[in-house]
Amino acid sequence: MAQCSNCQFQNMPGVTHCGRCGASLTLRTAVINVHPPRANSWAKSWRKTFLARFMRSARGSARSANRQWGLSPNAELPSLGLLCRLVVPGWAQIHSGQATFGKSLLVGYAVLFAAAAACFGSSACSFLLGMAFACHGISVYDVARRSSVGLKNRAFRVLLGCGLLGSLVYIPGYSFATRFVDAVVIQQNGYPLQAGDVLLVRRFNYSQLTPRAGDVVQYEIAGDSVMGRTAAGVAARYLIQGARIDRVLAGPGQVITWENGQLTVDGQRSPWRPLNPGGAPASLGVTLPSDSWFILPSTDVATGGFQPTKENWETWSIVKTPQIEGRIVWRSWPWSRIGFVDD
Amino acid sequence: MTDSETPHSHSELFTLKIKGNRMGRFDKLEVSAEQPDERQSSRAENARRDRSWLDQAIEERRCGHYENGLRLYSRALEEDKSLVSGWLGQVQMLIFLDELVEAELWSRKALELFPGNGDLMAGRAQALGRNGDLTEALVLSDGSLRQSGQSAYRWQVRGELMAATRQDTDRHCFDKAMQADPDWLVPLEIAAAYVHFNLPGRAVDRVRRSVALAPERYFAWFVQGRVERELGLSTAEKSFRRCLDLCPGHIEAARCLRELEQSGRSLKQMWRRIFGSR
Repeated sequence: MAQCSNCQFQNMPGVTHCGRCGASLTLRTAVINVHPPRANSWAKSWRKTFLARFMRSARGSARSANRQWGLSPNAELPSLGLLCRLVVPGWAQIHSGQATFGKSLLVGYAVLFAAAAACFGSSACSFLLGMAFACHGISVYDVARRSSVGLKNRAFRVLLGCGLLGSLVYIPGYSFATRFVDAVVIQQNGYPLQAGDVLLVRRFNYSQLTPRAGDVVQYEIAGDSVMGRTAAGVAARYLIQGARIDRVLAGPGQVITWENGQLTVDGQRSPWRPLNPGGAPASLGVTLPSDSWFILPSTDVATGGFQPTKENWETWSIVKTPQIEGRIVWRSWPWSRIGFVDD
Repeated sequence: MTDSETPHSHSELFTLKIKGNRMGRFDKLEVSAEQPDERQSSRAENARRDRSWLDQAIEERRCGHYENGLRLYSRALEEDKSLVSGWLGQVQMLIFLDELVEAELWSRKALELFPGNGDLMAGRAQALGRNGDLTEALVLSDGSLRQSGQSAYRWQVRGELMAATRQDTDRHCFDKAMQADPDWLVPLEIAAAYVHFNLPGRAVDRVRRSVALAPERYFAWFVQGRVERELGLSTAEKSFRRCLDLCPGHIEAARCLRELEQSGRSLKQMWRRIFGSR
């Protein structure tokens, strides 16, 4: 009679497995590795860190929630490696052998994301970014579909995955991007800009990024109030203020002469022109103070029947350093005119 | 007449079997080269040797030398893989060494070999519980208690999980464990579990009970010192000194004592002293 070492059941001779508990009766001499796996020193140190404990606890909580909400009592979470790969759309699929599907998702996402980045700040950007996120969502859904059972469980996992991606990748990414670049929408026509144009502005911080001659910048024009006449001949007071976009033509301390569309800086001809040379005065001569820049507001000052005087131009074209807000780096909308704002 | 058809005497057949089972039809013969009394003595010898490895492993465990304990449990299993206590010991050693992922994996393997073994289920529950998956651990602990037989370890794990989920019923489970096995190691491991789950206030009584049961065991004094140090009690120094008296070469106790002498009392220790269980 062979006694089972697990449950002490007396089995009939000749049988190889216990009739009660199913344990092997030939285990004593079986060829089995009896040396357990060991954690290496790196794994041990990692497991003691706060992050590892936090992740362990989060994983435990997720499992508990999974079961408590009755989503799927026996559902297992995908491996950590697969979960980490979800950060890049399609990577998890490529890793798990669905190379074509994974690559399609990755390429689709890259194209949509690049298009969204090109028209950043416009409504098309929101749409394209949404499409790109949908690609990413499909990648998450596919992993959830393969690792879970039941619609409820799948939906929970997809929502959780997308929520985590949104809060850990997209929102921080957007915040990071907008720390450097802002979108400005042009409100009225003024050659070469048109109402509805979306421009990306790189803000100056004056410690690392400062204006240079030739930069197209957004700035605050020196506030001024002038008397004039409208096109109908009615006397009116014009208030000159607000944000403007134009090119920096010269820097602090330089002597500028603007004569018949030709700019001379410190006696030498300058290659730079204002964005709309036609909107600039016929002639102007200015010596810049040490903290000021020369920007001719050529795009939209002369409106209606009002014609500024030479003194007005002198006042408006000298811009103090703090008034310059940022450099225009890209026109992201409309599609037909996406590109640099140079001419 | 072919070779297989050649008539053999009983002794010749016997020799053939010994020489390498060339004749399949004799596989099931219940005869062996050894005489029955020799066989029995050989088995007894094997069992004694296995028991010896196990005893050594248990002794190492009682001294807090978990690495050595693990090695000796493995040695015992090399001799006899059907020793459930060997597999369980390995799982427990891995848990005490904080290798929880490996412990869980190993307990799963052991459970494949010994399906439904209550102690192994409790071992897996302990590994899972310490690894943060308390829900699964509780399910396994329930299962382990439903299995036939009784053991202190199952109640110990149950109590540990209760403590991990901050339920007051932990002490009932631990009392039950101590009732099932009055050995000093049980309250000591309970205290260690409390410390693991950051509840040193609850560990004091247990570890003192353990020291009272075995004042000659230096490991009990060492754990008591650690618990008292967690709480910022001045008696920690005395415990470490006692541990060093019993085992002058105890490096860890010497280090703890040195740290204790060099450091002042922290706010965390004050808090624990005032609010007890935390």
